[in-house]
Amino acid sequence: MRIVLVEDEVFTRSTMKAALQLQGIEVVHDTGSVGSAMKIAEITKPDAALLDLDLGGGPNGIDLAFGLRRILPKIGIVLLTGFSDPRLLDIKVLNLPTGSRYLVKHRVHDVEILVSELAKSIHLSSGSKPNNEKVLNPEFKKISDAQIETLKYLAQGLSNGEIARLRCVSEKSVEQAISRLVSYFKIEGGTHNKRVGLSRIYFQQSGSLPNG
Amino acid sequence: MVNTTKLNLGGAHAISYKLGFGLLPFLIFGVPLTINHKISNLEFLQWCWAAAIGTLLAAIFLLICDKTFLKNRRTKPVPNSWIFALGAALGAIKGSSTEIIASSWFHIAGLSYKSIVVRTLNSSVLGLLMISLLSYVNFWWHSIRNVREELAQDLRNFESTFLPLNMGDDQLLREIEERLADAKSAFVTKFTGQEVTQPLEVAKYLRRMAQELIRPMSHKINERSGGRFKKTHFIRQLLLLLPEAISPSLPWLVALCIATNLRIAVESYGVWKGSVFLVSVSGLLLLIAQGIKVTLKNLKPNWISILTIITVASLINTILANLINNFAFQSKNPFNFYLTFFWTITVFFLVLTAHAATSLSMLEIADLENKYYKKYLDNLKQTLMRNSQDVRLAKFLHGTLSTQLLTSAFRIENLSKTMNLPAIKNEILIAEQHMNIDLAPKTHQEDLNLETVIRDTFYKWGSLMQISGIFEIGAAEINSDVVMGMGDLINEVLSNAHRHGGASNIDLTLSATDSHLEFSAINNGQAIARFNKGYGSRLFDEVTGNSWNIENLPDNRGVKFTARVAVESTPNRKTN
Repeated sequence: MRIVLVEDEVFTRSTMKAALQLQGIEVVHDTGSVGSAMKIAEITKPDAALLDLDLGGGPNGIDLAFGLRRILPKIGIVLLTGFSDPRLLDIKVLNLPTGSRYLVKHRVHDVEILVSELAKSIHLSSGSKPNNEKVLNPEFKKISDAQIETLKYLAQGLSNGEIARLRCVSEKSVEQAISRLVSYFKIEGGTHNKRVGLSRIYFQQSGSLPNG
Repeated sequence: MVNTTKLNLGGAHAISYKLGFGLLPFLIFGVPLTINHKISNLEFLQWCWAAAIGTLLAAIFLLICDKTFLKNRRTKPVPNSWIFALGAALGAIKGSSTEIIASSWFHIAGLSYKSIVVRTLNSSVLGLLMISLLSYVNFWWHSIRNVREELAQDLRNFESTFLPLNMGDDQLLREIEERLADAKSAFVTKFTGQEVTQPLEVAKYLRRMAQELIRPMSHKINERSGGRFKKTHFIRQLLLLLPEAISPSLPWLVALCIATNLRIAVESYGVWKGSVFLVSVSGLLLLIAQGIKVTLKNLKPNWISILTIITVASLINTILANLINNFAFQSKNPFNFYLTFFWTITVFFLVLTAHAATSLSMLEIADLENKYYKKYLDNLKQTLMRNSQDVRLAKFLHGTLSTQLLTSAFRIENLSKTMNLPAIKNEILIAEQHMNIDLAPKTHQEDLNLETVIRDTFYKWGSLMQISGIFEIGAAEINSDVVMGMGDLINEVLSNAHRHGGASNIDLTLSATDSHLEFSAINNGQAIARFNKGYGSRLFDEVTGNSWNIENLPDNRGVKFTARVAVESTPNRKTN
């Protein structure tokens, strides 16, 4: 199996490349840049792409996935990310390209899972099974986009006023969104601790903090 | 905030004889001589001598207490009641001995056995109040000092990695770059001698780099910028908190007023008339305290205005008390204007400062931001604006850079644990030396150039769409906020075209007039069926001030976006 690996963190990329090569996978190109991935993929025509979701500013992993599919309609796509729900990275995320696989890093316990998912993605992309659903973490299914956005800003340390200004809503709405999030995640403690608790959940679900 | 520190007047911070000695001289003049006859200048001088000797005796008593039952108070605190008793005894000794000396040695007329008893009782109440107040202030003062020392120790722990203060931005950036370069060299040196390196070791190193190098630097820069932890001199902080201390101080003010005037009033006017006098004077004090509160509330508090207002208030209090004494009660007693004024101002400051000190300790220990920070927000806003550059840099270091390092460390650990990875080849680590940590674009935002921002955005999206454009923009001096806003706007337009429209081509034009940037983008993507308000529209509103439009082109030929952004621009030049 020949794949292209796109990950903006150099250490993670190099360790993953080493691990995949040990499993007999040929990594034709590894890069952190969307432009480079597109160019090399067009030339080398890999079977699949293993993509990180967050690639810094500009296009994200899903954008790249659609770009790759346009030039290589049968390429298998696997998104490997710390974000348990892609909305945590960007509220506007689209559905994934048909047959794509979405893996959360902390749930991947073995490199063999990666290999198997890459194989599955190749099979599904060449098949006819559609994948029109948005990727939603079951834990986050009942949370609206607005609440996710509030959670994200809250984790960045913004005050209610600042969040309200960014979201163009009243502070009251922000307070309500926060209190719904608090009750949804069953966070206990004083006002301050609740915000910390929500931030912790955000960072856990975005892969910056271990779960539990 | 609820402070859980238990108030202990008889512990390590109990009244010390040194502090007591500092207070005692006030007692000499503190209580005006109001015997029921007009005294001569000589008698006044004699009274002062008697009061001085009485004070000396009280001081000796305090010294004895300090060396006996208070001796081990640091390790074995005495109960609060003992401190109250000490205060009462101190006042009684001072009052009685002064009266006895004045009558038996100096033979000042008007003093009697009865007046000695009354003065002793009066002085003991006054002593109790004063010593309690002093111990109370002393207790909180030491509490604050302890907290401050702990904080100072924390800061000293970072000392070795701190950068020098008062550096210019360029110098600071150079220093940071040098430090990062040093860290990278150390990184390479550490791993060069080995063929392979364990991932956990790499993660540990990254973690250390973030925690021991980057974070302390951000703390230092944040400190340099003043900002939320802006330091104000301790005495000034106390003065600024005086207005807030007025309400909780009122019981103390009234108690002291009654204690100091009780004997005078009763002796001078008799029980009933004296009580009316006492109520009048106490009411006057309350009224004036309220006046200070209202005045300071409507005035920007600074130490000069606070000192002035309290001095003026004391003066008014003295004049009005004088009027009550002389006219309303038609008293024959002499009214010592200066003593009353001195006493009023002392009481005001002593009581208010005591409460300000306690308020301050609450604020310092808990959350300086809450009351104090918000109250003087204007002042801090100016500081923040002045130092926004530093704040941005500190945030970048503290947030982005160190978080990147920590996240990398965490992921490497996670991957190595879950995937049972072999060691990483050192050549990969060595390559890390060339990792470019680009400070300049994030810190020197005023140097941002619209062309650079556009080029950067094109580079990111150019591989996913065919982008073409013509740009006629001002030569320079486009506000950095506008440049950043335009960068975000173009990024959003490109991302929408790709994500929602599936566009493969997009044509952009950007031109500048004297006052505006005109931007348009036409893509060949799918028409918009329904336009939803969301992040994009908010961004467009913010950047353009609601001057934007989006429309479908006829015959499903694509979508056109136009925007107009206000900006000051210089004469046109053409870039392509």
